[in-house]
Amino acid sequence: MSALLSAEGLSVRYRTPAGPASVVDRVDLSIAPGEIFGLVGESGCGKTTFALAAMGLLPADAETSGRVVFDGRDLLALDDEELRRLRGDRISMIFQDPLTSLDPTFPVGAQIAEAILVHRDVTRAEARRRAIELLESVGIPDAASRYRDPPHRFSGGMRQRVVIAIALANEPALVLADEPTTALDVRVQAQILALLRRRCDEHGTAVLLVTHDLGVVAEVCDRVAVMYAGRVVETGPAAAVLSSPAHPYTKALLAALPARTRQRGALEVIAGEIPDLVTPPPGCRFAPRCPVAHERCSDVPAMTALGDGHHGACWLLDGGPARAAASPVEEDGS
Amino acid sequence: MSTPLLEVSGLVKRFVARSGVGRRRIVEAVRGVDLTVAPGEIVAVVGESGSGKTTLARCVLALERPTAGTIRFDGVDVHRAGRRALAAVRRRMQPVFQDPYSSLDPRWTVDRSVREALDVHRIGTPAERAARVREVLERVGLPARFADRRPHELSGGQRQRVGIAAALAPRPDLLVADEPVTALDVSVQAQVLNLLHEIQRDLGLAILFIAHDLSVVEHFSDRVAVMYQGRIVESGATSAVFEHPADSYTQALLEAVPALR
Repeated sequence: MSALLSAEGLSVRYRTPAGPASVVDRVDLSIAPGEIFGLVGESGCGKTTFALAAMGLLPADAETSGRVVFDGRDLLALDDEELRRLRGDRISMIFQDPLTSLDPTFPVGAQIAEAILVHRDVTRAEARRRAIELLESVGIPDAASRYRDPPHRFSGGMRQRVVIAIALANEPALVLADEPTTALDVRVQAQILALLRRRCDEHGTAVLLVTHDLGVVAEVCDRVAVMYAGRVVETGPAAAVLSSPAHPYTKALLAALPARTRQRGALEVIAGEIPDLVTPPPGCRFAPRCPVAHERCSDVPAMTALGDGHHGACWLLDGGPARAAASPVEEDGS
Repeated sequence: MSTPLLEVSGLVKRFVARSGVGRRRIVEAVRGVDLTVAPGEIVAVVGESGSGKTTLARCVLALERPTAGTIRFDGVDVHRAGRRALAAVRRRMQPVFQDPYSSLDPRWTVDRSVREALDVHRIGTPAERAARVREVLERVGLPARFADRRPHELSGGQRQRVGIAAALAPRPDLLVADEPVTALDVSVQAQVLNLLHEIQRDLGLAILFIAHDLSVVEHFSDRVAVMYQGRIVESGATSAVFEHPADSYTQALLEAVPALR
């Protein structure tokens, strides 16, 4: 499997009045053509910052280190002009709220055609023809006659289809989708997810799907990375991670889902709050809230391979607390 | 079945929507809804955006005047009651909103927000009000030191606890909760749902729970009413509706929920 996009030790720090906040910390992950890769976690875990970093869209006060390699080039090293040429062409992005990503005053068709004209040397008539084709391909009925309609004439789900049509206009290799169905009703969500899935299967497009919803991951993702407080704590095939979670945080998150029990007041909760990323815990960032934390957790846990590409960053997967007791002895001996 | 605490019958709500230049359109948000909530019961109204569920809740809270139909709270017709009777109903029926960040006044301390309903309804002496505030804050799991904080100093989960404490302060019989956990992360959502269940059990409160998330509704409610285009298309015991949905819309809705396995 050759990677289309790979992050190697990507870290992002934001400057804050209290000091630099470590929002993304040494994240490694890779996405292959044709796959939907889920990046899942709660608010503040760094999933959106990761996606913005990959697109070169971080605010100026963000400091990055590591590499994000796309097609053999490090995106973090590109200048603005090179990024502009890439964005909307080889890589495109879909955001949560279609109403804020579309221009309310322009016909939707013209917005799609514009995306084509910016990157391709084609006539207006040709761009228009392709835009109508794209509208059809994302399931807008009567595409030709709706070409001139402004966004407010479309329902939320139809608007998100238009946004997807724009994102797909130049047949990108990679689509970064940040909570693309979060603002949509559940039936519309199912249609949009099916549309993305079909696109990946038929065109080999890769999608990085940023979401907080484990159900969405189960529905469409091939692989997933679970983030907590800026770090990937577990990654692997979506089915394996969801059915046999290895990291205590992934387990806790799944146990907190209301679908798991009808018993009143019996949802599993994760004690405490997410850490302040200006002064994160020294080792495993989940340790202060972890029910099975032990001394060894004051060191950053390494990723342990669990087979079939499933990895977890927890000392319990790497020999457990027994090795923790042994490690100071080793240090003494060296 | 015992006498209902809340009884909605034949509720209709129309709005005049102005679209474009001078064009007026009548939108019928609620088209004839019947619904009851018994004392101590949790009834969920579930539906997609535009189904009319929030308009229903706003009519119940007397924040909107119905176009037709009646809403009775403990026998009192809410929209025909005199000022004094309505004030009594309002004390006994408290709202919990989706986003406590916008429902809490950013300039007020937690203490003042939680005390507000007691001040408005002139319940107790100042000392009694202060004691009640401490009591409900403790009830929702917020230590007394939170009383002096302002909303921006709280996490989302803590803010929703403040919202619930404020609703509990005047000792209501019914909470009308419109998407109370929608803005929260999964782990925080679990804490707030557990808290609402504990409160409901300990205080015998009834809850009218407005939500779009089917798995939350399945876990949380005794009975459920499914709304679609202003009407209730199906209602019944939550377990029965989720296990054997009879209406084709309910079936489509349940099928669209991404399943974990």
